[in-house]
Amino acid sequence: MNVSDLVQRAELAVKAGAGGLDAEVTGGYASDLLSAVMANAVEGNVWVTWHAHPNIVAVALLVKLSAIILVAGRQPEDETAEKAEQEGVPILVSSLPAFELVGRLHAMGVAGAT
Amino acid sequence: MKTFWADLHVHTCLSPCGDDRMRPRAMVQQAKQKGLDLIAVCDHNASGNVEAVRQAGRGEGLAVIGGIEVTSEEEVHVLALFDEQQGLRDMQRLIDESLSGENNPDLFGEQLLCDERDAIVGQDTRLLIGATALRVEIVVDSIHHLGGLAIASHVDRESFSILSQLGFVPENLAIDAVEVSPRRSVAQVYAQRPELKAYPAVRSSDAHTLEQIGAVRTGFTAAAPSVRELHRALLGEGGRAVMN
Amino acid sequence: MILKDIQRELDADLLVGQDNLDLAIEMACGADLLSDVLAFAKSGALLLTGLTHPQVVRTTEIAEIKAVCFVRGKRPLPETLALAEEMGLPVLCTALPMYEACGRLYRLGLPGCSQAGEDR
Repeated sequence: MNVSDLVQRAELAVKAGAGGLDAEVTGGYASDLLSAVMANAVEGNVWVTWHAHPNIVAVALLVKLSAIILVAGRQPEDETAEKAEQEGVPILVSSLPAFELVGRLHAMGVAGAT
Repeated sequence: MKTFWADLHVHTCLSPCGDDRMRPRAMVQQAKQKGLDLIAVCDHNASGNVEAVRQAGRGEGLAVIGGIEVTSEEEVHVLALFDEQQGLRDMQRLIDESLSGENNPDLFGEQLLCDERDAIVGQDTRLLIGATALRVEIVVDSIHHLGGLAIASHVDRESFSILSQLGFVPENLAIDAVEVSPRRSVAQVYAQRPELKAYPAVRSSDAHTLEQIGAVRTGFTAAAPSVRELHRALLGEGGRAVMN
Repeated sequence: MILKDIQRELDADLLVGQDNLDLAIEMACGADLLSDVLAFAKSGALLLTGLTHPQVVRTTEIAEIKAVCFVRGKRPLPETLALAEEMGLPVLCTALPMYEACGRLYRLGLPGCSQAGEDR
């Protein structure tokens, strides 16, 4: 499954970084602590978070995440969107809170680490 | 007694997110142009440029307080301000012991160490954007134990503030003041969160670029431009006072 | 769904609440930012979080959260546990990361806070 499949099936809005929509999704990681994501998420994961801060793009690049999904209708800050656009890191937005979004992604087969 | 105009939260090029031009002389010049008497240098989890800025400030009559913007385990940012070099060093040692990882300059930005003439003398290789393993109470208590002042950074911001991370200020957290960012006034923040009135407030730029230095400032009337005197002004001791 | 179902599904340790295994849980929310919990969680929910600070327990009291599950193997601080015991707040602890824990509970039929329950 790639990022665009997720966009369609989970009804996500693409806010930036459409250049990265072909990336393969290896699983999911959900956290609002950047340090936890840097330490635990793995390459190709989609990251579910509340953070809209520009540092999320750098974290995504470090871990080589396939996409960032903001929850509860959060919008990326302007600088975040610009950086994501430049780097081709998709920033997607869901209207759902984290628990429900993760539930749906999981049901589509995007698993977490166990 | 005199009134000192202070920007109590400025980064240097040592912070990964700090602009490359945030070097000692340039920062001091900017601060003087903005009419500041005092700046506090607070890089993320680091203090390696404090002395260089202090020396640059010495020739220009700008007082420079040494500080660190510490990231707690909960990713709460807390400013640690010290008069004594020893206190700052000991706080830095505590952070170094509990911060892991290595910086990736391409992604997070370079972490440049400077001399007082703005020349680059090295790089800090640690992951300064990371979080320490210190819970926020330990951060605050350690700052106090080492003789410093603890200010909760940008409480009105929705990321990395005590309110964003922990919802409200824990009742046993002994912070000396809350910092309000340039985007809000102290009155607005107090009106929005009345429980914060229990703490004195300062307003600082959190400058990451030269232009941002002194964008907002806090004045305090006291005997000297020091952390100790700032503390007494926050407490309103002996006719001292803080103005925002 | 009851607390015992959640414990089983997440292979979680029950640190507080042995007497409360039949507690009905109607919905859940997952967050590491307590401001987010205060803003969006609904009364009666289970909170999944990676923060272990005692403030988590204080927040559950304000937000009327019914039980807490600490994720990714994070053990609550002793002070956090003591406070939870004092308040009679059931506490679970799972080695699963937030994502997998939320995914499994949702699949088991537990709704999220935007889908179920009454506004606080």
